[in-house]
Amino acid sequence: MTISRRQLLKYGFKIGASAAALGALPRPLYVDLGDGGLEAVPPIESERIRELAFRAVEAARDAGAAYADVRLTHTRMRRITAAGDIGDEEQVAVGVRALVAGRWGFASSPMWSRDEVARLGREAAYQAKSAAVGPAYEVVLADVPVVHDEHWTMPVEVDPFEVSPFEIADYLAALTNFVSRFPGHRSDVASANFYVQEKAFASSAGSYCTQRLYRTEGELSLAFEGVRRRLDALTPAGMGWELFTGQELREEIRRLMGELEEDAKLPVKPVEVGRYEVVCDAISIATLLESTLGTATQLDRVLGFEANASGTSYFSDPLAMLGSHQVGVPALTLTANRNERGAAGTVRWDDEGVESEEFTLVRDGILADFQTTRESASWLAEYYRGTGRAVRSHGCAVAPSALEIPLQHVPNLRLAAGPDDLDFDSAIAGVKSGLAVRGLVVDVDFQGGAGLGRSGLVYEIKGGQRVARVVGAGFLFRSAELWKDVVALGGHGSVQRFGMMARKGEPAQATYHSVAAPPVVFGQFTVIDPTRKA
Amino acid sequence: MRYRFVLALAVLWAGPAAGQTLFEWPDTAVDVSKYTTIEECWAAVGRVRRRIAEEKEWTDANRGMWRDTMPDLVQGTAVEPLPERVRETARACLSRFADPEAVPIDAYWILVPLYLHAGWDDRAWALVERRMAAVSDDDPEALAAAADTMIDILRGSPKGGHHALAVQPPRYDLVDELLARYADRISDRVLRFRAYSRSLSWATYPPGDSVEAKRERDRATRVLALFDSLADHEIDRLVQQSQSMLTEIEAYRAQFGALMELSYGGREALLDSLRSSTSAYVKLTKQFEKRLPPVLGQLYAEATGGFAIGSRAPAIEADIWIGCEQDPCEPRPRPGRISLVVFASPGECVGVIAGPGEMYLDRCAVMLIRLRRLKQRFPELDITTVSRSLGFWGYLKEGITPEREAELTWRWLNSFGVEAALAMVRTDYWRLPDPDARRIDTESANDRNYTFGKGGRVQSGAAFLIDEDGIVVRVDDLTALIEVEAEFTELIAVLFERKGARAGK
Amino acid sequence: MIGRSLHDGRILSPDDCRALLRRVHALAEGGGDTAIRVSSWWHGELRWARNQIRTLSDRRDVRLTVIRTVRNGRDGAVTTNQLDDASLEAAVRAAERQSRMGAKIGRGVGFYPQFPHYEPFPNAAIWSDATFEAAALARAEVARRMIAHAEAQGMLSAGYLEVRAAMTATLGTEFPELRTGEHAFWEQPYVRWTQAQGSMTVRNAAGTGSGWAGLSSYDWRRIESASGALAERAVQKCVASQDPVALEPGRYTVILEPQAVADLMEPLIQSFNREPPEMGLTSPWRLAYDEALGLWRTKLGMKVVDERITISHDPADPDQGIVMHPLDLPEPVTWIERGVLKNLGHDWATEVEKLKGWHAVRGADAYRMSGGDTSLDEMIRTTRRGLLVTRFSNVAVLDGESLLSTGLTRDGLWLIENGQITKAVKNFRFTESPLFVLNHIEQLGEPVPVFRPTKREGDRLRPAIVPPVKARDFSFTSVIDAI
Repeated sequence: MTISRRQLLKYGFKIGASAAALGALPRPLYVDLGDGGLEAVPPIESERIRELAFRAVEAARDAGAAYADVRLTHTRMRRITAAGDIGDEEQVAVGVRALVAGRWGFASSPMWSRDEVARLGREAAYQAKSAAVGPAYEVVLADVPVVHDEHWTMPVEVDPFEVSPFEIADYLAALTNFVSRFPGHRSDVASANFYVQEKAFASSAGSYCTQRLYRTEGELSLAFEGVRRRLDALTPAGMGWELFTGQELREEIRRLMGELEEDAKLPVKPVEVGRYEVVCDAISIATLLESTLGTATQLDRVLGFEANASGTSYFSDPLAMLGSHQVGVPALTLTANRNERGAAGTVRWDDEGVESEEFTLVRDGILADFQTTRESASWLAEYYRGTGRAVRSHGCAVAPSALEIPLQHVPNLRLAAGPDDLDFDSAIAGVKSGLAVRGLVVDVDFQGGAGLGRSGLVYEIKGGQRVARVVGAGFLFRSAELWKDVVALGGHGSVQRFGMMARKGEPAQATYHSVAAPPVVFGQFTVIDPTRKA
Repeated sequence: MRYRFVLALAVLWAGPAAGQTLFEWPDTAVDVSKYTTIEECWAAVGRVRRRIAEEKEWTDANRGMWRDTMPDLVQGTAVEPLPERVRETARACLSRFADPEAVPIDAYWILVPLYLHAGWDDRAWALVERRMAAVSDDDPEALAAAADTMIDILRGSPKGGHHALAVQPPRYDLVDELLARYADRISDRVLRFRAYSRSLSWATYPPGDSVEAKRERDRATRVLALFDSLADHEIDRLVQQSQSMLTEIEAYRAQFGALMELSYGGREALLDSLRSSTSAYVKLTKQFEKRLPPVLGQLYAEATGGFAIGSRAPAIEADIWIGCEQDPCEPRPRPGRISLVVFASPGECVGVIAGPGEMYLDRCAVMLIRLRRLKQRFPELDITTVSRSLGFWGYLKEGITPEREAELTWRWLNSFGVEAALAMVRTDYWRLPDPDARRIDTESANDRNYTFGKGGRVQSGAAFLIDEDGIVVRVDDLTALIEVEAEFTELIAVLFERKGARAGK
Repeated sequence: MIGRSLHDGRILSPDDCRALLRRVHALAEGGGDTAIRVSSWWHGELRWARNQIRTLSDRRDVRLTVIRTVRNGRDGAVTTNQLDDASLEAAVRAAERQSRMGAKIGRGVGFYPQFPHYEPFPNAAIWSDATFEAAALARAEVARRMIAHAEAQGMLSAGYLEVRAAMTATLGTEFPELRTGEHAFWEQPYVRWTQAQGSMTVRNAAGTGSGWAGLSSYDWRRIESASGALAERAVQKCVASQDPVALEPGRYTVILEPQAVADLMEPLIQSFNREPPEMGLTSPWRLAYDEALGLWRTKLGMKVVDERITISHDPADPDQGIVMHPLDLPEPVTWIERGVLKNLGHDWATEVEKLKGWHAVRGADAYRMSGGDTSLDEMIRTTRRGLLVTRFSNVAVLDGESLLSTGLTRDGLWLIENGQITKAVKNFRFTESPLFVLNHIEQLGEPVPVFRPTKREGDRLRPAIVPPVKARDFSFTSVIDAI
């Protein structure tokens, strides 16, 4: 359906009733684009949104901005439960960012109109100027090719807003019905959240691009004899309705129910503190990665730009460490991207108009790069030039909506699999004596340097077998040692991807990304009873 | 500021473009024929059924028709055929699962009801047979359990209580066929008795000459014969099993109703006994209660208020009387009058009203509607509502005296068409020591009197039918979703008929 | 367009809200009731890092939920952020469509007495013109002054200044005949409030020392006037915290600065609710099930912490203003009085049913913890061996019954030996309960306002006034390297 709209645009059809009749998205919100009255929010590709965007940029430039960019977002959220409850929310926003003498100014509001965007442009420049007393700071924005009026729609198989909510409710209810076919099993919640954001970006460098981004997530919890598990397969993803229909959810539920039954049979014992060989499942590893390396490789954190908020990093000196600092075993390679199909952090262009690409944060155990934006990439210029690479942003600037200023946020992360055909179960089979853990919740310090994992489902392993469920275990780690203690990485087939939310900044912003990881075996994990006082 | 000029703009604005969807949801009609799982069909049927029920309520309400003017208040035993849209949904969705020989057999408890919803009786029966054939005759427990489950499904009370799978109307014809085919294969007679007794539906079909009623009597005959043939040790086992099924009072009640009907000449005999005298009626009731094994007798008594039947109704004590200005308020129940004493406090069914959403009938509705209808049918019936002060009323607490609470309660009941006297007791209570200060209500004299020695509080909704001599004839819960109203109506009619006949002599 | 009055559109005015309700209701089709839940907010923000002002911003949004209940229908709600008539009509139609999806018949049938009417508490200090009028230039000026303190010591600072204003209102048309005032008792009449906050982290270039200070208030002038002192404190903490040494985990006497106390008390403050312990749910205040009465007994009336501790809230105190609902008790509330649990917050329905009085007792959004007269210096002087804690970070509850929590020290931890601060100490992870701390108090200082801003846009105020506390046997369980 998007193709036909593109074609319409190409041939210069005026957007109006005919475009709305295409029905890609209901547009209940009205805006004043200067044609003498209110009209429904047009599709994001509309030429008049482009005009609005550049009007904002020009207003900022006219008010003295050396550089300015603008985002317009039209966001729609829908929540559906198995009981058939349907919640709808919709929001329009516009935000202008202006650079004056090395200071950023930002202004945003919920109104799309010619007057309002011009006001925001001026206001953004005014905000920046308010701080611009004394010598100008140097802000270098890494070069980025100009994007000429391009549009990208995230490739989803089924636009969830095109599916009848009643069909979705039926599907969700069917999942709980399915669970009720198995004696003793219960499913408490089943719900689905859908999100679509249309976004336009323009910069004073002349870039203009528009995107339609989707995010889908679901919740399904299972309970059997007091043991509860959540379905990991429905964490946030850059997908449409196919997040549900495109995978063998019933197989997954059956597998989980089987595990629950197995778990319920195991004796329960309290934790014995000590050091153990520990097998972590993929989601535990994803969580550990996210809170350690994913946190510490944010360049703005490293340099203290988040010091007063979420914190800094256990990597203290980026230029000295890049290319030489060993962060983990040689088998450890961590890449990042914002273009992986289906991932929650995927876009075509970031919120500075930078096209996404894959990059390597840790190569063969050595720190290789950081997460960057246009501004922060220039802080590593020396390293990039020294290694013969272009100074280029990795496209990690994210503004959750146009109301918020872009910040560097975590991209999708991917931990490379190990060479062997190893998965969670076969990893357990290889452990003589140790522990295995599923679904670790990790609490990490403000530098991503040390943490405590808890609340997971923990098994005692003896002779390659799960022999008991351990309650009350805490997994204490130092990031610098943790990744050097990797004994084995799961193989390709064991890699799973999970969508996650992260918060950052002042005021705090919440963004989504995915982390893909295999299960990992650690040699010597310190296991404590976190409720035991000193 | 935009909010200021939008009003002016609105004049220029001509309305949404054609095709504009305005937060529109796609049509509620979903193409269920593309559904690929049995559970989705189950979900779809459930959704359509729920939706139709809500639509019906909604449209009836907007036609000025309230639930209390509809013929059938009984939700648990609906006997109307399913709406065509539900049947269509089942048919359209099940096209992939239409072969009863090919579907997964463990899904029988989903598919048998769905087939029946679709109107595919043959397929449903084929699946019933396939399911029963899968159970070995050598395992009477398993066979009985399978039969029990199947009977429940066919009579409209599905496994797990899933509303979407409730067969409507109940298919007692198929239950009979099932019993005819399989009951004798259950070698254990206690288990067989259980299966048979499960097949009774006294609560669903009123006595009369309908096909269903005759079938019901046939079944009941068999059940009783079977019961009479049980040896003592078998009855002991039955009792032991019953103890684990104490929650199924409603089911037992139906069975005992049928047993009673047979043992003592049917319900008509019971009504006849009441026609002759309350004591005859009480005697008949007690006789039956005694004839049952102890636990079953107790169950029966619980279900029918046997603890009170035949007792003299104590005088209602009240600190405040309202709504009896034309007659003397006390004593109630009044000698020479047929009375209904109903424990009713809005505070106990509506509770604290903390917002607008709570200001509607909710679960009090059934009681209020029944009281209104009974009063309409029997204008001479003396209804006394018994209330206790709570210290608040809905959202009011300041200045709430028991007098004010009584007045508000009476006006509230009255506004729903319940014309009755109200007896309000100033409630004794004490408070936990400060700072906890929670209020601990104590039993009132009416609670003590009307539990007839059992103790505890009388729940809101409890109704006591009392004859003109002040003897309790029947006790039941007016908020319960069973044929309470019909039974009360019959008994009250007999009482008035009897009174009229006496007066005529 | 950079206006400075309430009518410049940064937040909606009371007239705007009333007009909104009228407009929405006028668009209604199908009879029945209309209600709106509306809130709007404006933020003026400033972030700096590495001694450079990075970003100033001016942001605003509005959120309108239209709740339509067509006659005999259920409630239908739709949320939007566009207030033009066309968007409103779209939202109203959508809400009506939802309303018609279900039946809730019988509403309004029958007799009900008139609603009681309560006016919102008028005397809360929650709005400051100075906050609403604080221009970008003023924020920048304060930031520059704060940065100068760090620069003078050769340190790097990062910080955040924010002024915001917000309003909310819940208004409806239900039961006009029963209303006795402008709003029904469940509605939130129009209320607006401001908040200002300033905080600053100072680090040395090597990243081996870190200090922090912060303050929040509804009134920007408090932040402005305290900014110099805040900056100086953060700088001094950074200087003094450099190159910490690792100590053995274990039990230490601790001197908790007010911010550390506030950070640690957060789970305790959140727990002052009556319903969970009365329903038998996990709560530090659940005692035991009383078989005789058939209810859960709570610890109300029992001594739960040191008798020097009183935790209370006075809505009329200019340092404790919060946004209140008309049903909230407009008087001071004391949760813990001289160590005894005296009150638990509870909602209105619980109260009407079971308790004396009329209003709901609000939970502890804002609070004041009583103190003593020991100065921080005196606490240090009288400590043979102990630790001085600036603040805690990442506090998480491990057990809801004992409130046993874990978390980290942050931005300054020092060893005290024989009455003197002797060295900077590496941060610890702790495993401790606020209840344990309040039962092992040695000394208390003067309560002061702390940094406790509401974070999310449009959220309500939650100020706190907290003393420094010296307590013994505080449990530190592991050393962390993070600084």
